[in-house]
Amino acid sequence: MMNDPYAPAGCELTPGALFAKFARMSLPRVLFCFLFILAATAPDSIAMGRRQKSRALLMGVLGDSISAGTLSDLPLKPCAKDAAKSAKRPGGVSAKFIYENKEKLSWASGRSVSSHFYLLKSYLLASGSPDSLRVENVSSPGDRTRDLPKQAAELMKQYREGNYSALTYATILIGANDACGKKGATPLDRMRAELLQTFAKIAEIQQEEPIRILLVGIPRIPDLGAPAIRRTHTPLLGLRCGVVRDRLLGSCRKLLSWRTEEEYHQAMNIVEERNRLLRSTAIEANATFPNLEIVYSNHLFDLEIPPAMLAIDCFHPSKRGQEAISREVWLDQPWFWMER
Amino acid sequence: MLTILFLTALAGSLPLQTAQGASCQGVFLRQHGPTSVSPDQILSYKIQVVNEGACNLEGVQVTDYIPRRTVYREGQPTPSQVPVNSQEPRSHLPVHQVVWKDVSLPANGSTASFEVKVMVLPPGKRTITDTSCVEHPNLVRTCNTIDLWVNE
Repeated sequence: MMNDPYAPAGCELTPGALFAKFARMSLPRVLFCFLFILAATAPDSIAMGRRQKSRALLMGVLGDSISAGTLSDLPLKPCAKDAAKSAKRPGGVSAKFIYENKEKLSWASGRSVSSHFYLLKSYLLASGSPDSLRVENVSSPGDRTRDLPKQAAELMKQYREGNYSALTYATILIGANDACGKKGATPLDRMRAELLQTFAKIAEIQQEEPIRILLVGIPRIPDLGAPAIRRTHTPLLGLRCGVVRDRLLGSCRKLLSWRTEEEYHQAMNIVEERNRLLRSTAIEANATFPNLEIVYSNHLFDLEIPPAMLAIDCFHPSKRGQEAISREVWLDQPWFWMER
Repeated sequence: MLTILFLTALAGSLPLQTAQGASCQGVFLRQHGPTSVSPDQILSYKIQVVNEGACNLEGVQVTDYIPRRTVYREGQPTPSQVPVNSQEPRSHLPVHQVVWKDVSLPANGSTASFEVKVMVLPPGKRTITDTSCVEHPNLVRTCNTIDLWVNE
């Protein structure tokens, strides 16, 4: 038995002196020491879940502006009451709102929405886990698959510096900027190679449990070019989405500026091809890296995007959109469900 | 009144989807059909849902997201919701779903089969994708996606 430097005075745990010391102690002090010894010598984990050692778990978020919560503070169709409240609340609209709402509104890491971080935390709590969970959102607006290895390296850095026990869950929503590329979409073979590099980086983490990764496919971006959305008025001087997004901001013109059915389908082909690539690469990576469990979700591609879910730029998801993404995509993760 | 306001506020602050309730396992979904099809032909494929678990499941929903550039023709058994076919150029919005609601899946090996027929529109030389999902409050949503080649 080792001496414990943090033991109360008179409670040294050397067995030789223990009984002699007990004999000289008052009864309350003996009881206190006895309880202390019990606590200090108890195993870290006791069967039947009575006491478990608390671990520090990490959730990672990789991706682009959707995961970064870009512009989610500013909905296209704001509820007047909410907007006024948000403007009055200190920090309601932060100086970084244009680029990042990672901490508050991101579907993956936000604390003001039912994000995956929130849902995972709720799951851990409900399942009686004593583990603490932190989230590192390394996503960045404009990022493509070529940026993912860098994001994975940053996540690894955070993982090591934070002395975490496990990377328990990671989300990757990527590919929209690859599909939108002004000089052409990112070639499929390059996307595959960059994704495999990313997975290889994450697979360097050695932990007992598998690293669970939810890879989320690209939403139906060309649908946002529908006339009904182009004609929608924005809060920006009442200008229409067609003017704000397509002419002033020039967001993803390649996929949004279709005018005929043929052009629409060409744009959808670009997205669908990349989603197929994400799906097949997830399967490939699962076979290559045994410590990864990658699940691909095509759910965003299967869903309609109503204008009420959009931010003021008629392109990014608003807070409601972020909520919807989180809710829908959570359905596709197979790991964190409670048995009744 | 205050109690109602409090409960309303509480309900509003709860997550829309909690990580609870997926207590049943062993439900699988697969599509069966040709690996290729020609433009202007009818593509017929079957969706098979198997419940190998121990739960009797009532009220299951099966959704088929039919491939783009196909026109819905028929579903068996009669679906609860089908796409509205229109000649309008924007008829592909929103996503075309064929939905069967209130499907029963008794425990220990029961199977439910669904058939979908769609007309494949030109052009050829492309891959089309069909995704089907099975959902129930006591299940993790399970989806399967298949690719089919459209001949020249």
